[in-house]
Amino acid sequence: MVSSLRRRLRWTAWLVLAPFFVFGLAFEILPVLTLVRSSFTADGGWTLANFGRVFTPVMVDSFRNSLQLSAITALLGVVGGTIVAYAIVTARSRFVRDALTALADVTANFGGAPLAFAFIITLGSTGVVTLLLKAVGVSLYPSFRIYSVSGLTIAYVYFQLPLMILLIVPALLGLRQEWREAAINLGATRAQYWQRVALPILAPSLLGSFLLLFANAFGAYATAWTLTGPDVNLVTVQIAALVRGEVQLDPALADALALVSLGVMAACVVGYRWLATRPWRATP
Amino acid sequence: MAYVELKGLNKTFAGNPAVRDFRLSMEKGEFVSLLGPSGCGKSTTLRMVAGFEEPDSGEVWLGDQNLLDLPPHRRGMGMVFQSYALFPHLTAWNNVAFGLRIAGRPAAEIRRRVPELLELVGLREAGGQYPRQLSGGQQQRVALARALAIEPRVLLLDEPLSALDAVVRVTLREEIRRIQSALGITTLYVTHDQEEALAISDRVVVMRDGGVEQVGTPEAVYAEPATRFVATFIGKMNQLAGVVECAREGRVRWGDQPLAVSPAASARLADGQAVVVLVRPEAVAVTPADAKGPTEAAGENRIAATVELVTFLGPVTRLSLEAGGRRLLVDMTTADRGRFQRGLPVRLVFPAAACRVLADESAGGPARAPRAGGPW
Repeated sequence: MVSSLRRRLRWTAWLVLAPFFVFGLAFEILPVLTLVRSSFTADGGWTLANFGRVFTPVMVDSFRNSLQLSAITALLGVVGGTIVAYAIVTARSRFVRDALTALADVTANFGGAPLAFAFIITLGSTGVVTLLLKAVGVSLYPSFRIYSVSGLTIAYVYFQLPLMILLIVPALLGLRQEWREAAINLGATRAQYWQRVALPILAPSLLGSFLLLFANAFGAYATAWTLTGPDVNLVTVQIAALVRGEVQLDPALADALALVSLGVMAACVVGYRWLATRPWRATP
Repeated sequence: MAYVELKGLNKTFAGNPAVRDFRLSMEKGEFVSLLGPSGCGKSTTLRMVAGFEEPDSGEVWLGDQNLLDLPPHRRGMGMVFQSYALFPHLTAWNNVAFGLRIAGRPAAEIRRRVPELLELVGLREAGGQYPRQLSGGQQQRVALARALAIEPRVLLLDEPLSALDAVVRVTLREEIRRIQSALGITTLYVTHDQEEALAISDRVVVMRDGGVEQVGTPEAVYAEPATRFVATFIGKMNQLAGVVECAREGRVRWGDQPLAVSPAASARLADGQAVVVLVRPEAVAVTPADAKGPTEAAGENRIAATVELVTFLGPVTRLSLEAGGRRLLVDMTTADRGRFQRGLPVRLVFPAAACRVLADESAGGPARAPRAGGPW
């Protein structure tokens, strides 16, 4: 009686989960399998030729740009986000803490074309901020252009920094007051406490978050395309161009590029998971 | 001149006084415990000494130096925390070495000193292990070694054993006392466990609501509690609320029962004053009512009672008794438990010298009728 009820419950559980599995299969597993097959085939047979074309100068340049942009914006996000997150967790006012966390939550999810447009109307050549600065005698242009790598860096940091805040706040809350007091009691200054205790304890979280931010930037497309079009040679921009076929239609090369990108992202996620399980990681 | 002197410390949190006019002098090498229930201000007092809390008023002196002028990292205090507070990314060895490295001690000295300290706390072999690989007791030993490594002028321990199980607690408290005695280090120890405080301290400071109730040796605090709070907080105590009949002769009336107390104990009281007579359960002898005993002697109290409950506590058996509508406790060795059982009429005998008499401040007036006093 009990075992038949259990069996029925188990089947019901699988049934409830079925839409999730169907969704995962349709939009995660099958696309990746298609990508793998497509990137390893040409003229109906298996080949590595598509990957050979990944290493042409233009494609290598796109990887270099993407890796640089991702690394720089991830680093800026980690440093800036950690400082702001620390200010949030140590804020005395609960209202300030909650408000800033909510703001980070919203801005971390504000990306793509709307973000690019927001930057164009603020820091573009006729943007509000640009014109206001010009009115007080500060000319951003032509030394600065929002439609360049530096402009893209600012736009990426806009969503990288709040994402970092959301990732690192739990780790900062996990830093126990007793560790700080014990270090100070043993003669450490505030700087020595951060150098020898807090940062080493936070290191897995900081590195893990860096990898997530890196992957986040590496996979970004809409912001880059809307803001800079083909002017900045990134992997995601190349993939889109090869699929759209505006200059050259080459879906097989696009798939090979996507598979290499997938490898980069997978390495980031594996690294993050490994770091997230380090035993000395601060947890609240 | 005292080695450590706490002068009139006061601390308020959000308008609520946490510590009120705390005063204490400690001699060099002395082991003093701050004892009291949760929220009585003992940890706040310790944290003010360590420099983690700033007193609203008062002073903390170490020798001829006012410590309030110094930041916490320059006070030379070694602190052991309730939650160990070991750095999780460092091995036991590196935790102990932390303070020495911060102090810039030579590497050779650190290599010599750390094993010595680990040996002192009985963990020489555990130096390579991380805190997560150690038991609670081992972690607290490492924390103690770490605190001692910097050769502190005063050792501060904030409920260091409360997170440990009973057996480890007893072993470790003896270890702490042994090490403290061996090093001769002045120690301020916070605990809410009265047995722990009595077992290891040279002196005990009993605290309540931020203030000091009594300071004394464990024996004095136990045998001569200054207040009803101390009497009830430390060990079990029978409290017999009565009225002084004749202070000069040491006579008190408890309900219908006359009680003899030491004239010295009642000398400062007035006839007719409401009082509480305090008698420890182990000071009361109990015999079956039908047993033949010696005739009543002068200065001896005899009370008829009935056994309500017999509780086995290992080497001691506790009898809960009813006497004239009031409840009393008697502790006897389990070997003497004999035929005592629920419902047995008994005779309680205790000498006048075993009675401590305190003015009953809750009674509100000298002529107030005695209330039914209970042991709790």
